[in-house]
Amino acid sequence: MMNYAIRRSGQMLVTVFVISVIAFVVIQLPPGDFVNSYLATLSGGNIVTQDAIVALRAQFGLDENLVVQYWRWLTNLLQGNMGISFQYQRTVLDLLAERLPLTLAITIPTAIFVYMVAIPIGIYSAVRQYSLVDYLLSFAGFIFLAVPNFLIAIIAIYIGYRYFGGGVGGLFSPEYELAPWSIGKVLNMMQNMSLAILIIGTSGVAATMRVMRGMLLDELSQAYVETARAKGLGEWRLIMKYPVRVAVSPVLSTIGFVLPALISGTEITATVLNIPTTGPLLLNAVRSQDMFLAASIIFVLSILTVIGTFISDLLLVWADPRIKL
Amino acid sequence: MNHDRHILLEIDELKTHYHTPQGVVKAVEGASLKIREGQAVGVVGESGCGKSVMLRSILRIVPQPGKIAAGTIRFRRKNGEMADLTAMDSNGRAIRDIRGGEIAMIFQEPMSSLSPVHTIGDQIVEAIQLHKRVPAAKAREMTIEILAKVAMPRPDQIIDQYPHEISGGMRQRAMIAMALSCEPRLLIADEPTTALDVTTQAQILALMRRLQAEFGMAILFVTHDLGVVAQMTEYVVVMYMGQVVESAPVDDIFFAPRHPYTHALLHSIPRLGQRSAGQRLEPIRGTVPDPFARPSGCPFHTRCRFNDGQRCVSELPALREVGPDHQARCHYAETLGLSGVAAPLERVSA
Repeated sequence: MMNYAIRRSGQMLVTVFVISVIAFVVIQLPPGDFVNSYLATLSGGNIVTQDAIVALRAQFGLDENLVVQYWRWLTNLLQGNMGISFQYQRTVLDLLAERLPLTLAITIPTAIFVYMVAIPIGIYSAVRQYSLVDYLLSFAGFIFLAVPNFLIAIIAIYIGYRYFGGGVGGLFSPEYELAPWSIGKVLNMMQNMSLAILIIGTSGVAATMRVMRGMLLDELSQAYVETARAKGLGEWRLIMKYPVRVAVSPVLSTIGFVLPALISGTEITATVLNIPTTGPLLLNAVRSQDMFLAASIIFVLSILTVIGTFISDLLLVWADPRIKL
Repeated sequence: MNHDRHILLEIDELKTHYHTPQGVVKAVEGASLKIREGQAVGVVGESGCGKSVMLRSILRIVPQPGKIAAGTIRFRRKNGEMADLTAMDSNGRAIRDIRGGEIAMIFQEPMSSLSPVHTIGDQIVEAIQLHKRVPAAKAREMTIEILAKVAMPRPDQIIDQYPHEISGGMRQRAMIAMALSCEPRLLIADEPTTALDVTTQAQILALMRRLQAEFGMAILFVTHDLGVVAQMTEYVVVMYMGQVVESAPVDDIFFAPRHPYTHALLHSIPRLGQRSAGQRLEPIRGTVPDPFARPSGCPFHTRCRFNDGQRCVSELPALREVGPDHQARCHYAETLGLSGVAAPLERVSA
């Protein structure tokens, strides 16, 4: 197990390096650069001379060859310097430090929420296949799978506003917005966040529940389940010990994708809900070709993905001894 | 011959039906048999004749949507009381005490019958702790002991291995060890050697005979292999389309069958020297009828050489005594004069 973890860590380093190249290149792909989009946003009528453009490019280091730019970005990155956001005129590190904790504070509880709700529902649906409850859960699951999260967010805002007279968006209710930190403010934040978690998590719950149900249905008819039954085990105890244990493997293997899916999937929802996570920041950075900011966010998110996959691999090895180390 | 022994299990006119959207499948439609303590009884029949469903009915583990529709299954508990298993709640305390504790079952596929994600030891220890109040360390000790009894090589190592790490024959030994771990008085074996190669099959059969003698338990041995029946059992029950069509001591089945289906089964299997004696293999005519459309009258009439076209087609024959300890379900059981096979299949001693 230890050896496996060490070997996988080595592979992670290689993966992270490749990701850093891709993240950097992808950001360069759209035609033009920050200077173009910066000039485009300047109020019309001002005539910018060619010299000014060249000077701007030189100032941002955009006139150099791509490999040099990448190398400078990477070496700086390794020293903890992620560069400066052209648009915000602040260090990327600052911007991320502001938003990443909040992103994690939303996505990690969301991931936990997804698994805690989806796995039991999936188990129940499979064991009571074709029961009324199974039909209702499956129906609701398909609806939430089909409706985009941001639409649910908009509906929640509407319902919250129309019937409860309060705003749903943002981290705090208006009365706490500018108030100093207090227990009330923390509670208020948690309350607002739980709604965000609920909204962001719905499609994850719907998808994971379908996977769990399908996997468990396959396992329930396996011969080893009958063996356990013939032994005299009680029905629920044997279901939890045998088929669920086997069926949960594919669900665990999705942890690697769920983390980034949540983080990127939350972008639009977070924008709608007006929650200052990295999502809206990334959306903006990409739109304005703020390359160091965008590349850094993508890079950080990718590292989280790699870590998520690593965790799910370790869990898989624990869950299924047939996976050779 | 065995009338001095107590009856351990008595199935009387059992009917187990499957209610499917396409209609009712009468998987078991009138099965009756008796097993005495320590007796080895064989159940034979083609695939789909209801053997497996009958076994699962005994343990009350018939998969959905199967239901016991009629009949009784009476079992002599450890305390001597006869209990009707069909009256029990299929997930209740009473039947779960019997499962594994008093009636154990081994299955056809040793590959898939053990959980792939638990060690052999984990699965046997669990069975022991379900039925006996022993601490974990003691249960582990007992597991190594029982693994040694089924001639498992290196039992103290195998106990911590996973099923995929050992061979098919060893897995079936582990299954047998699990079944025997709580000293059941009845062992139900559902084609336990079908999935194994011939050499391993012979070893497992020899092992089961030895263990039966050692533990003094009764065995209900289901197979479609008549050779295995000849080796393993003293009494044979023949099933066709969910019904018992003939039951008799093993020698009577081979030498003096009374039901045309038993006769056809016997003559459809090849024997050594048959070709040089100028005998041809006679397949059973036709195929098993559609379970949704059971034939009228005797269910075998569509394939029977002796079909009279009247009574056989209209009237279901009853299972009746046709000789000492010998029953058959045929209108003409006494008058057909069916021939048995000249020599029963070679018996292999343990």
